[in-house]
Amino acid sequence: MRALCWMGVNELSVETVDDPGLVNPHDVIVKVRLTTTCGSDLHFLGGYLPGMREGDVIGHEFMGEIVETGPEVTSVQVGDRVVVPSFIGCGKCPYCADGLHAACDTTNPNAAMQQPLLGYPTGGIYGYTHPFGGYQGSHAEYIRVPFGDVNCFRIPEGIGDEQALFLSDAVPTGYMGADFCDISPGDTVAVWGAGAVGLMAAASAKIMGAERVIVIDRFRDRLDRAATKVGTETVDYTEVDSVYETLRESTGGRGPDACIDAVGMEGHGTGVMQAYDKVKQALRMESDRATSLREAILSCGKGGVVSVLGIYGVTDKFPMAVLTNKSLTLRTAQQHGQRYMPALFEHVLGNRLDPSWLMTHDLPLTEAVRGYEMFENKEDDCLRAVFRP
Amino acid sequence: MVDFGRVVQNANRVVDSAGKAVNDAGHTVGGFVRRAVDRPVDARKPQTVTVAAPRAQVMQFWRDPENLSKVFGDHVRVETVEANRLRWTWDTAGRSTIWDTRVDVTSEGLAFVGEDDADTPGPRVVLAVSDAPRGGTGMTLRAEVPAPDLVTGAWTFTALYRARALMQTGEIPTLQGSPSARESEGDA
Repeated sequence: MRALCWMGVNELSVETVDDPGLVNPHDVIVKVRLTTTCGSDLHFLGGYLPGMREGDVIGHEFMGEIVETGPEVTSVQVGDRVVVPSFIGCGKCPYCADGLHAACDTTNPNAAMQQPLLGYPTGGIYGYTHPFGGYQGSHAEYIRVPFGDVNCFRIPEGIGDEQALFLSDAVPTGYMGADFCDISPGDTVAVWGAGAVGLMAAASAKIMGAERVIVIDRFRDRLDRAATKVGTETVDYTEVDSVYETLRESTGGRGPDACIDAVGMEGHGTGVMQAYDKVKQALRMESDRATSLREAILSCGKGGVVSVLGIYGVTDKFPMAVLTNKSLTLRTAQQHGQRYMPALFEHVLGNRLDPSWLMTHDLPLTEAVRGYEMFENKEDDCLRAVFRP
Repeated sequence: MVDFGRVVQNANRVVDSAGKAVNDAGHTVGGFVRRAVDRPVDARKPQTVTVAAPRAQVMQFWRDPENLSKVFGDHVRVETVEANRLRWTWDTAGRSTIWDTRVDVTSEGLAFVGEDDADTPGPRVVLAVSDAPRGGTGMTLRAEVPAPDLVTGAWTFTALYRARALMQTGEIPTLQGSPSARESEGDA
């Protein structure tokens, strides 16, 4: 089959690889219909996250049709149209039982690689470095899905492929970020980053009752989407002296009730700290430009929640004193999509959420290298490039 | 007067260019992170995980050589040679290493103990089981073996991880036979 492979730092190639087969009795093989780029892919593409090997098939956000099931799969069957969360749960361990599927205790074949870094390993994820499992990714014609009963969600009639695709990762990640904020009616929520995850976090915050949602970014097209598609207020951080001051002044001097960071380690910004981070990152003395994280912590009102969805490696200059002295709560996780999927289906069917407009570029898999270039460089207002294998 | 904003803006531009050049050179960041991953952990240091299974089932599991072959990895084969004696065959880098061990039931759990020879002590792989906090059975594994390059802390942790997975889900997470353009791994 054809698949998009990581061949080195900033080097991708569409290659021919073997078709996947059933390995374990709970496995499922999915014929991929749609698979999409994700901002977190850029971290290992650029060499900021270690653990990729030449030839790895990448991609973790996808939907498709089941074409083969293992002998112990019972709840889904061949022919089912399914969406699959990017992190793999087993459904049996205490973490899966608590709805923390990304923290699954049994699905990471390379758990020993991750243990020295994290203390306790995460579950596996498709196409996202070997410490995270080394599983084959979704930018391919077929993909093996472990524990099909737990990880394949049959898509209800009335939900299109383009809507279902983003329920794999962008939507549940954003939804979880808003869920972390414990939103009450009347709350103000600020969201850093108007990429797909940030926009879905903003949309989710509105669904959960936030009165005001303010999205911060520098790309006009993305801010326009936040305003027109989600109905948020926007701040272009390149046009204000200080995001913190702007938010403070627009919230009666109190600050937002919750702040969501949907940017991560390759954040941009202005000012001395951003320059300092860039120097240290370029010299490999840290892996993160954590401008948005620090800004979110500083901007958040006292007693508020800072919800971190962006992916970070090693962050220094972490403003612990600000968290402590303002009584802030910091919440973060990789996404637990299995936990949220039933609610997300209901929101889409109820017309409260339509993520299909995240797809700005619709390409065949053979053009995936170009798709990533457009996505990374935000050419032609690319928000998400979607591939049809 | 110094336009501080402009200075910072220019500094950002310069650093952007420098950063891109470094990236283009194909380096990867986080060398110390990689070193942490690559550093072998001493197998004599205990590794512990909790499995959602009763102690009796855990003991039974670890006494089955078929299970031992599954959890201890792809280069190790464990067979019964006679009652209460196991043979461990390591196939690595084109050569085989063989240990014979007896199986001792101890107050802690199980010990797989090989014979000492004149120069070196025999292999000793020890499993301790205990009641875990909040339920389940804690499994602690440590190994002292004559060939430390064969056995590291990663080896003992992987064995525990797989044992838990097998007992809780009926299968071991694996990439074996799962194709991609890369070499198969994750089972080493």
